[in-house]
This record gives sequence, structure tokens and C-alpha cells, in this order.
Amino acid sequence: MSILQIVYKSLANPGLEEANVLDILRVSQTRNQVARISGLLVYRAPVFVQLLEGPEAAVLALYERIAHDSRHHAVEDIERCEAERSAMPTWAMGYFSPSADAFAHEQDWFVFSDKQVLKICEAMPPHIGAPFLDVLRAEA
Amino acid sequence: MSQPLLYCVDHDPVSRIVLESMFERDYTVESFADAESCLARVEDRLPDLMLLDVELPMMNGYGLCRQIKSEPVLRSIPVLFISHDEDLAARIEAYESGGEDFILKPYAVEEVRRRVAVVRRTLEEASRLRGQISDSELLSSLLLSSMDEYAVLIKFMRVLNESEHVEAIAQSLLTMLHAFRLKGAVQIRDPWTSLTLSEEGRDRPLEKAVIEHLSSMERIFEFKSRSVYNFQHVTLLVNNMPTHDAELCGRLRDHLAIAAEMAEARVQSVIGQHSLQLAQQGLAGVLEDTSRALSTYVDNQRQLRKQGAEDVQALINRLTLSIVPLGLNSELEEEILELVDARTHDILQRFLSSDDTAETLTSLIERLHQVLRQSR
Repeated sequence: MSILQIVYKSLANPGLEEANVLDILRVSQTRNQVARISGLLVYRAPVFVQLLEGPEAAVLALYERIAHDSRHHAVEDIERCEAERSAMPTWAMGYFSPSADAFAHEQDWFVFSDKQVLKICEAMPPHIGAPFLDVLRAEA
Repeated sequence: MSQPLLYCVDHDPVSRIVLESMFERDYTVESFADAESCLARVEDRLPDLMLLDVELPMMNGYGLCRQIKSEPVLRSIPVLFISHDEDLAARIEAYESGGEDFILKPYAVEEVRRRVAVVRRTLEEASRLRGQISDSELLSSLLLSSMDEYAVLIKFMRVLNESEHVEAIAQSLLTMLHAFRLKGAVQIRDPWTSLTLSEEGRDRPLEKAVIEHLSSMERIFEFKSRSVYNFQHVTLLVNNMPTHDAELCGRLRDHLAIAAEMAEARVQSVIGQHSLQLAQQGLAGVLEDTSRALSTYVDNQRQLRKQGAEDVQALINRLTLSIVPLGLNSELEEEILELVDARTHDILQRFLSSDDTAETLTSLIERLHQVLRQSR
């Protein structure tokens, strides 16, 4: 059964607290697992790039909620395609931001380091990994 | 102290990087894209744990696991499978090939870490368990004297009858399997918990899941070289029936069915004893509460009577003093005082008569204490 993959980009609204982003991600780990949604979220202030992948209905419903979230704006679809297998092997959302370590708990295993996330994005299929690499390398 | 060594085998590069990222804080991680390169590396350096993707390009994950488990030097290395395949058949094949757990892909990062930790703990307990089995008096006497199959069964029954808890029952079944040169696992389910035991360890996730599934099937059935004996609280799984020897296989099947049924009866007895103990503990609690409540009641009543008597006496004294200024003649004064005295005497008598109830209650408290002492 094929899955839907969506990659989008958006801009954080002024005053966004990264600690709140991590709180939301902690809660969404369980929700994503139940909905069988995997993906990756990269935040390099003020840019968000996110991959959502999983059953079509669940991904579209989640994307709809995210697109209307008041903490960001200028939500832009970069890639929308079907695939046989997910690009990320974890149901929960992987996360990276250069300042995540300041807010992450020791048990937040879904938070990856910059080296790790760079390797992950380089190993992804190019049409999925490229939007992440653009953001990661632009700031490097 | 050096970190434990973890081998990850996955054809997908992203999966390998994610696994490395997940474990690099606590493990030295080496990754391989196929079974063959992993096997070559295992010859140089033994890992402490392996995470295997099932879908590998040439030899698949099951094949790799079978190779690992067929080598005496390697067989104790715990193997966890990772697969997209949700079918029960995939889990059974993972179990048959010797894996410890089966993780569905995509997975939650925390879950994988937790299950790896569980498997490592299980394996540590397993080595302790193997020590216990090989040391057991029953096993050593059986192996030394080469007793016949019935002797094994009789010995098993003797040990079983001395087993006071489910772990001892499961252990006695395993020891009997060992004496029959069989390998397998036992699951015992009581109303409070479930225990899955094999020589490889206790509550191994994949073994537990497979036996839970088998327990819902027929009373006795066989597939390939395996046979399963299902009772309400006991499931006995044998993995290596000597199918090449039909006669021996038939005899063993009979022995194992009897043994499993005996174990079921023993588990029921243990459950009954435990339930009785729980009921006795509950009753003892009620008795203690009742005894305490009665003691408090009797004390309060005594206090009430004492206070009542003092109040009445104070009333008479006060009346005697108060009546003088009224200027009554002495006859009328005496008549009033006699009347009050008589009535208060009646009231005090009634108070005292309730001491009969207190005596009854005190005797009841003593009897409750006796029952409590006997129930302990």
C-alpha cells in the first residue's frame, strides 16, 4: 500500500518559543505513532522544513491542522508525492534545530544533532532530502 | 569501561543513520547494508547485540539470524528484527530463526531503545537461569543415571508437587524437557500475571508474543518439529521433537501431554492457595477493623457512664445547696431531696445496667483477637 509524502516550508511567527515547539513535538510523538505518520522537522530560525509521510487521509488531516497553526505563516508546499515506503523509519517525528539542545530533555531521543540530520537528509531520496539540505547548508 | 558493541544491518541508508543516531550515545555502533558484510565482520569481532532488518538484498535477516544462532560461539548474541511486515507469519519466522524481538517499521525511537534494553536484561537473566537448570539436583541425577522416560516423568511429578509458585512450576517443566533432550518454552498465566520461561530467558518479547498466539489454538497440535500443549493456565511449546523417530516422538508426546496436564493442576492449586491467602488477608483486615471499632465504642461508653454519674452527683450537691435559701420547711426539703435522690439513683442504675452490653462486646473483642491470632 502506497503512502503520501508532503514536504513543506514555512516561516516562524515572531516571538515563537522553541521550548513550546518541543512540548508540542513530545505530545505529537504518540499521536503520530497512532496515526502511523513518520517524518522529519528541521528548524533554522525563522525557517521550518517538514516531511510528513504515512496513510494519505492521516497525512492530509495533519497537514491541514499544521497549515492553520498560528505559530507560523507562509506555508508552502514543496513536494507532494506517493511512495511505496516511508523515507524515515520512525513513526515519531525526528527533529533538528541548532538551539534544540538548550531546551531538549535527556529523554527526547527524537531530537537529532546537526551532523546526524545532515547525514539523514543526504541519504534520503533527492526530491525529499534536497529542501532540507538547502536550509541546512544555507546556514552552515 | 568500553561501550557495548551494536551491529545494525539494514539495506536502507537512512535507517542505518537513524539507528546509529539513536544508539551512539550508549553503544559503539557498526552498520552494514547486507548480511554478508555483517557475517564477515562477526568473524573478527563479536557484537553484544544485533538489530537486523528482515528485507536484506541477498541473504535476508532470518537467514542471517539462523547462521548466527547455529554457531555455538555466536548463539548467545541477542538479535532483534526490524521489518515492515505486519503478518503473524513474519513473527513466527523471526522466532523460529532464533530472534529475541520483532519491531515493526516505521517505529518509535523510544520504543526501540526500550525494547533493546528489555532484551539485554532478559539475556542477562537467561544466563543465570541456565546456571540454575544445569545445577539442579533433578537434572544431574537424571543425566548421570540415564533413567528411562518414566523415571523422568516421575521425578518431574515429585518436583512439581513441591513447587509452591508458578516460576517453580515452569522451571520444573523446563528441567523435564532438558532431561528428555528437548528444547522449548513454558508460559503460565494466572489471574494476576503471565510468565514465559525458556532456557534462553524469561519473558522474551518475541517468544511471549508467539506463545500467547499459540495458546489460543487447539489443546495439542504440531507443526514442523514443534509441538504445543495448551491448557487453561499452561502452554508448553517444544521446538525440537525427534520427528525422525516416530515411535519416540509418540511416547514423548504422551509424556508431555501428561506433564502439561499435571502442571495445569498444580497451577490451579497454587492459584487456589493464593486466592485463599488473599481472602484470609482481607478477612483479617475486616476483623482488625471491627475489633478496633468495638474497643473504641466500649471505651466511649465507659467514659460516658463515668461522666454521667459525676454530672448527676454534681446536680444533687448543687440542689442541696440551692434549696436552703428557698425557706422550705424541713419535711418538704427532705421530700424534694429524697425524690431527686431516688430518680437520679434510677438513672445511675440504668447507666450501670448497660455495662452488660460492654461485657458482651469485650468478650466479642477477645474472640476476634483469638481468630486473628489463629489466621496468621
